[in-house]
Amino acid sequence: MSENTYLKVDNLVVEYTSDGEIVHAVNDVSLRLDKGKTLGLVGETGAGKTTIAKAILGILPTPPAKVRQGSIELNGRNLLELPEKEMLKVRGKEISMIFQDPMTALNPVISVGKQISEAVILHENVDKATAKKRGIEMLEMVGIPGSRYDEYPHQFSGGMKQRVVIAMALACEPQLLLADEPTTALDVTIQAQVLEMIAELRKKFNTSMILITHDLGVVAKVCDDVAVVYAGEVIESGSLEDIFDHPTHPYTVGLFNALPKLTGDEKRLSPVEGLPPDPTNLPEGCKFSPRCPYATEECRNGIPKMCETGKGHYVRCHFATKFASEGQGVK
Amino acid sequence: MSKEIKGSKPKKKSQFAEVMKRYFKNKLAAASLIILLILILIAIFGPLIAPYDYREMNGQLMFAKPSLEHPFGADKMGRDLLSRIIIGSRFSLGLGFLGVAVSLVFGALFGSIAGFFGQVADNIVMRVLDIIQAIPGILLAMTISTALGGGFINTVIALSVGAIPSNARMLRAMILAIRKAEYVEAADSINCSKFRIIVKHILPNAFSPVLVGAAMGIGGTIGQAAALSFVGLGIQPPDPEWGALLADGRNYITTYPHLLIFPGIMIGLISLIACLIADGLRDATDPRLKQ
Amino acid sequence: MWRYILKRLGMMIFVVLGVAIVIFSILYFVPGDPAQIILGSTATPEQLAAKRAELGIDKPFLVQLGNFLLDIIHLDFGDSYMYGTPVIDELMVRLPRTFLLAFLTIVVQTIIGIPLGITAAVHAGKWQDSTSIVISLIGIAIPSFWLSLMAVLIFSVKLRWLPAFGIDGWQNWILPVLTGALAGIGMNARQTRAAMLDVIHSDYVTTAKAKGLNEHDVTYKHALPNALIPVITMIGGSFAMALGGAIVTEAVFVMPGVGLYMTNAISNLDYVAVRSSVVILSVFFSLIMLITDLIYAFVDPRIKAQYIGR
Repeated sequence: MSENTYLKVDNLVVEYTSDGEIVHAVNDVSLRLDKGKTLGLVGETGAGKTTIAKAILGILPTPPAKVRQGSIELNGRNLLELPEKEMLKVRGKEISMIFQDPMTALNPVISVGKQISEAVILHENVDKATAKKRGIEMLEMVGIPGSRYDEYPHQFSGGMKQRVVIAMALACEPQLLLADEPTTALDVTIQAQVLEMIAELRKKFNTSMILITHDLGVVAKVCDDVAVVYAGEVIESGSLEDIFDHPTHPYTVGLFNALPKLTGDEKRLSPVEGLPPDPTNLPEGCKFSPRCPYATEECRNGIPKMCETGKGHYVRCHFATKFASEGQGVK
Repeated sequence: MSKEIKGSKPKKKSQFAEVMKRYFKNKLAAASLIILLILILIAIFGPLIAPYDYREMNGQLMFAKPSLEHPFGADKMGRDLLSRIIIGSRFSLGLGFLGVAVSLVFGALFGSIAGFFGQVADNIVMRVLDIIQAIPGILLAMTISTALGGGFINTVIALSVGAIPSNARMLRAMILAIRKAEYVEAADSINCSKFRIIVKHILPNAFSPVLVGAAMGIGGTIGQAAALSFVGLGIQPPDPEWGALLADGRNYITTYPHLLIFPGIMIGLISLIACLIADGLRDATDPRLKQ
Repeated sequence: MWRYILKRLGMMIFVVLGVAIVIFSILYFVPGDPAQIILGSTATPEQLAAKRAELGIDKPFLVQLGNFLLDIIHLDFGDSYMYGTPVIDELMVRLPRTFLLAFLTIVVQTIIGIPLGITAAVHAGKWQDSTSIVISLIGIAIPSFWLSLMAVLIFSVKLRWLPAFGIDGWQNWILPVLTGALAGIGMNARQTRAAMLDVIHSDYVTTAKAKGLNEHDVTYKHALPNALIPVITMIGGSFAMALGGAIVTEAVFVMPGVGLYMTNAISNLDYVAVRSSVVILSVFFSLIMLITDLIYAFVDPRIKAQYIGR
């Protein structure tokens, strides 16, 4: 753990109640993020990535959601213990979030300019004219003419809307940006542009970022550190090199095997077999054991602990050390 | 994905059973449905249940207040009010159910013509519906009732015409939306037959909004029927439709309010349970709430 | 925008003529002979035939319908059989009263119903919510004319606080408006609550929260304007309800509006009065719907864009 750890999430547990059933969305998640760095949260849809981000920002709908335990420290302050009034000053100012679907993330009856300058007025203690000027600047920074300040979301295309969302998130120069699949809803060609733009703006403001995605290609391009999330748990975390060059957990390995390789000569891809577990009814023991080709009796009964296999490289697997030293005899 | 996964058994109950299970979880809705069923039974077996003949006059009982023998009292001609309300339920419930049924059938007919048969038919049907919808419902019912006169069937017609446009619009919109919906395209793309698409995909989706609308409509129609009787149209005294009972008792409001209180409570009760049933059905069939 | 309004007004003329045709055709089948009604039972067959010719009701259906439409285009709504006076004169005196009643009813149900719905949605699952749901259900379930009768019984007969009939003073309006508004309060509250709950869970509300807006601003600046869009359409629709309600309410409170005029006309088989009342009410009703649509466009920029044709 380095000294300039900016965000420190420890043992976070989040549950939802739905129809009388308890959904175990996030189970014992710990994360570290350094100043100015980017952490990639990787995992399948429904693994709990968005819930983690919303918990950090304190915007989980409660009820039905509830943070059962854990701490989220930002610059040494535990956000979970912060009174709502203080938290309002953190949201949008210190931490801001880019949402997954630009089509629905903007309020349809408020002009895009107002939606951007709103946060500025709220956090920067400036008058309306200055805020508007700032809003126009932000629009131009993301490549939209400032003259479109007074237009409404329906007048913009999907890619443009996502730019507006990004402008909105960065308007107050946040210290931490939570980007929840910022490019998933966009065309491939626009995806690259948007990522580029986020990277540029972050450099300018020295913003740390948590990037949520299921796209390993994006992770390779953007992230410094990676945490792989499965069934609400971090099952492997480490630097980009750790994860990409020495994937250790069978699930991580499976994710990479599911990617087409430029150099590979495989006839077909080998996806991870089976489906993610039902979060209302998680398997006992290791949550990946029902899908794991190496699972033993031990895996089905005992929950594995995080195990450090290299400096800063953690793996949640009973056979972590074995896999780390011997590999898995990749199929 | 052939592998059986421990801990995530597929939930595959029939859709109907699933809906019923969720419906009966809602205590109010369940109770309302039971009350409605009881009221329907009372209407069907009315003559057997009613303690007295609803037409039998008794000079000694004129305006009798509620008592043990006559729990709801008696009217201006000494007729037992409870018996009249029981027989009246045949009129009121009959008007409610038939009125909704007729408007649904014609609404579905016009809606499908507009939804299926292209631009010209759509335009003609929709303009006609525009016209009908431009007349406030109770005014239309009053006009038709004036023209056709009283009587059960005429009143059913008077009550149902005004509700046809909204039903037709709902079905038309649904047909158009569903025809374009991705899951129908998907079914189409895997060569699912048209008939199968309609039975498996379109009908179940159209069913719940129609059912909810119908439940709501029954309460409204019974109330409107009563209003019609009250202004001297529709079913008229001595027939004991609940609105007609109100019209009959209206002049004695200051002296014998029980003549108004009991029929009014019945109309309110049926509207209330119709509303609760509609709510329960909507919540039980809305797939968004499943999450 | 103006082009849209003109287009809608043009369509409205078409709809009103359609309404006239429909109403005329329906009432064509009214049993009874107007000539007999006007002249009484002592009239000779010759007198009756002469009266029919004078009224133009001896001609074939289509000719009568044509004449009726022409008259309407010239704003001639015929003479009442009952009173022998032009229907339009009577309506011009009575319409404002009926509209005032309907308007006050809508105002009351809106200013009570919408805040009630918002409160329920904001406090979903708490006592405010349950209270609002109970009030809504009672409002929707109780037929307003019965409620009027009970209100008269309690507040006029027993307590003697308010007059039971007539339109002599402002006190006369309290009971009709309040009893008429209860159903609308219930419907507005329910609709607003449902719309708010829908909107509160939408992504852009989460976005607003993520910006650091407090609960109040999120609710009233971001959620409410969106939730009001469906509610506004309903206010337009509830005008039909309020108008229909006013017709019946007038019968209960003996208020000399169009409703009372119509119910009297119906019992006297005065179908000229009935059809003209219905046609004129439909004209105003269509106008209100048009205004609602325009307000709708004003609130929702997406719809405005459609109208302007962008």
